[in-house]
Amino acid sequence: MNKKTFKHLSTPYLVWLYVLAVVPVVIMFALMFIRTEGVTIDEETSFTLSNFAILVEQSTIVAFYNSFKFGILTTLICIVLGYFVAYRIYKSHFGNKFLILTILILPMWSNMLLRTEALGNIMEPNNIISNLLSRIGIDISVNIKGTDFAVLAGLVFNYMPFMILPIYTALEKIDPSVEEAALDLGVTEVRKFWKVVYPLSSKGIITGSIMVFLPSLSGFAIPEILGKGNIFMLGNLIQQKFVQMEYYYGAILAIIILILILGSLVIISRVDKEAETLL
Amino acid sequence: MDKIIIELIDITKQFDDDIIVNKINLKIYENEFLTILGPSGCGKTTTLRMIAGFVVPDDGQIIINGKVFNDLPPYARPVNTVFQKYALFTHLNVFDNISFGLKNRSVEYLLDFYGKELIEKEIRMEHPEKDYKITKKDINKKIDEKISDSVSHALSLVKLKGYELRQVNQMSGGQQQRVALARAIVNRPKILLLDEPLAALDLKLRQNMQYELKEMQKKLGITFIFVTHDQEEAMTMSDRIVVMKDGFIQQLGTPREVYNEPVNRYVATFIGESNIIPGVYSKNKSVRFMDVDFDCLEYPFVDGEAVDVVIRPEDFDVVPLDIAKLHGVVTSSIFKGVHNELLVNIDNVEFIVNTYENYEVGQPIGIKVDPYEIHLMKAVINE
Amino acid sequence: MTYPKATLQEYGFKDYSKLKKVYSVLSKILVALIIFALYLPILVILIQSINSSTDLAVFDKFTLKWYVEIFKHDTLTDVILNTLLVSFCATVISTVAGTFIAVGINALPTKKRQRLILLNNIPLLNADIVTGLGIMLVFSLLLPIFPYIFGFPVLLIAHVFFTLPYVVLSVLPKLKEVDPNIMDAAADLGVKPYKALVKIVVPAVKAGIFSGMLLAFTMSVDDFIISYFTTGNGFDNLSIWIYGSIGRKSLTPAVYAFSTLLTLFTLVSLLISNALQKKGHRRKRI
Repeated sequence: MNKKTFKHLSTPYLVWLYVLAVVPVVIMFALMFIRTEGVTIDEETSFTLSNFAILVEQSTIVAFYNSFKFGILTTLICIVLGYFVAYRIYKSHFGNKFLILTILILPMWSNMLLRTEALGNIMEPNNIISNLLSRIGIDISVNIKGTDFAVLAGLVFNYMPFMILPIYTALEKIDPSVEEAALDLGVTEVRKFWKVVYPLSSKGIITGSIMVFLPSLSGFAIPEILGKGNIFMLGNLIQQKFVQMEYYYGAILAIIILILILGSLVIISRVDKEAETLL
Repeated sequence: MDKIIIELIDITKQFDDDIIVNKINLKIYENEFLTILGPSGCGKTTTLRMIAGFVVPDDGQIIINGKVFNDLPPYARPVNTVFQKYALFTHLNVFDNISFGLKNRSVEYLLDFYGKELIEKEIRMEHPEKDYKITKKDINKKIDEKISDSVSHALSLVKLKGYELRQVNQMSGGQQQRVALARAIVNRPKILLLDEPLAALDLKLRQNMQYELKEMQKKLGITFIFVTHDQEEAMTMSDRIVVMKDGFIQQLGTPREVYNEPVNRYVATFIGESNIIPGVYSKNKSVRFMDVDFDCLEYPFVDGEAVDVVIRPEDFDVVPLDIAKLHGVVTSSIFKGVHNELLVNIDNVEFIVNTYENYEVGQPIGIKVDPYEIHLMKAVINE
Repeated sequence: MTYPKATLQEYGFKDYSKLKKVYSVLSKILVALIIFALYLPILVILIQSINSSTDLAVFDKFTLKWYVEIFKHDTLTDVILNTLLVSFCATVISTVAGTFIAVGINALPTKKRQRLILLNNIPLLNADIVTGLGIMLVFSLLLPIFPYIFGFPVLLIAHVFFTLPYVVLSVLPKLKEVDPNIMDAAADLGVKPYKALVKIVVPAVKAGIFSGMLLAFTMSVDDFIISYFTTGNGFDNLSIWIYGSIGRKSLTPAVYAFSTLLTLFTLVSLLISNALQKKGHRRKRI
């Protein structure tokens, strides 16, 4: 590319990103130290560290615990199941892998809230599926809405495609003759997977994990709908506090999430410099 | 008489509607450097991959060491491969790449590989106490040492001593190729398969590697099966050459045989330059072409049979016009470093003649050729 | 002469072929199950959309009336139009801007490029809640000057903000595949840089642009959390409306019909684009 001409095309973007991504952080950072209603600053506001007391409050601790519990569990389950699916697709002899991937992403094109609500619908005893099934003589009744399992299932199956795609991309990038070389050197298929394929696809696993972990711990729709209000996570807490105009509270929690995100960004920039597996 | 180590019997492979390898029969001997030579798509790589085990033949038998190996996967075959694009493990360094084959073998295999007595003897030498009981840990440690030694030895064979800890993607193409070679030979295979390994290297490096590979083969005493489309490469390194085209073996012979006595027009034109002219064979060991009779060797042709006459450009001798058998005019002269390549027009037929001296374009020239340098082939109408 | 068959055992390997067959069958079943689980919710949505009863637990009769109701239900039509408006505008802006930005990033030296890619990843990886809050806070500061800024303007900016990175990340890899000499070739032939960009580079990366556009539209239409925090003045988008209506009577099954329609529409677009791409490849081979 004619580098001279186009070098400056991206500078406005740099500015845009700084304004909309960095400035808010500064504001949130500042909010941590003030106690105000909304973003107004009047004579009574003063610098204080007392806001950080919320970190030891019951609701905060519970929210943190839940978020990390669900975040980690979701990620782990997604890694196992997601890698499995990605690997089977990679190994398959389908002519049109694109079609398979499309089938995977299709659920993402319906509204997440509706999907979650539909899932919640069938998690209750009397639901439309059991209604239909009873007409053909099958009687199933589940009552799992409101349980940990429900929220976990909702999270896992909502974010699974975000794990499958990066892993699949990473797998496709492996030179096929490398697998042949491993076989040639005396390694059986199972060993070949652990010693060659798996390490070479680790980029995808890391990217996928981040794409699953972050939203699962910070979202509030899925725990609210599928947990029937019993399960309280960070996202719920932040939303609640911002609605109640206790901005400092929400800001502190948001900054903590941001630190996590920054950590992930650093990991990704080390592992996948040109962001090849991110999509 | 050398032993046969690999035999291909009626090997056939088809992909969709194309018959890539068509009923190939081939006997390969121990300790020989065999090259399979041919253009892209002739089936040479597929044949190699069938020996390695990456492709299953549709028909026929692959016999290695007297046993049928068709159904066995690559890891069970006593064969190692050097791949065209090296196929190095990018997540491992040089040492781990080379030791990969050995490190993933069972202890029983490695004890057998290095010799159980030798290992036990060496362990006992390190623990001279009376009635020392050899533990698994001892054996594993000793085997690891042995593997390290093997890797060092392999590295020095490929002239990459000291590169153990390098990352493979920080190395040049030539270095990577040598790592791939070391990775294969460290396993002491009786048979080494090489799939156009020098294709990606530049000329000087390629010529160096050709020499080194040949030396290595002689030193290691193993069978090399080398696949290439470069006929000069084949001529330089091989004990025997298999010329393939369209899934068939065209000719199998030593470089000298293939060069001097090509069996058909394809082999004659594929290897080196040649002049091919139609002629008629006479029973009294002579052949007539260009309206001139030439003495030649005895051939099993019928008197008066139409033949194709093959004469290599360098076999023509330029002689004074009065004693020449053929008279022509130089139409082009290209300086090729070692020789000049002339195009000579004799009665409107173009001949390629290589000479040491320079001749001007337009100069009349006389040529003759010795009887043993005339090679006759059966005339085929369609080739 | 017949030769004996070599066996795996004599080379120290065990024959697991039976186990491999079992594994092969089991794994296919497991993959099918997982995909079924992924599809269960949209299956339910589909069923609800043709259910004539508004009771979400009972299936009454097959009907297509909800598909018509989409256009008759005032609130639903409003929010759908709002959503489509925002998403459409955001997608168009992101796609165009994103393509040029990708060109700019591609032209940067390595260090700068990787830094910008890093920054570009922030909206992608950032938790929706933080992005939404962040943008809300920034524009709250402007409230004294622009009291009605929340609603469509901020929502649009927010949507462009989080969809741009998708376009950039879709176009960049395709840009890398383009021959770097192509711009020089164009210059050599007397074509001005920007014209060459539009006429040569853009068609070369159009697969990336298209997939980026599709991705941007999808993420925008489906967005909830960011829109939740950045909207205002009664400008609801579909997700916000659904959130408010869950479990209440106001949730008309027409919304299920709409969701199904949208899914079908995007599926068909993808299939068409894939078929077109294949045709293009076939033409290239000849």
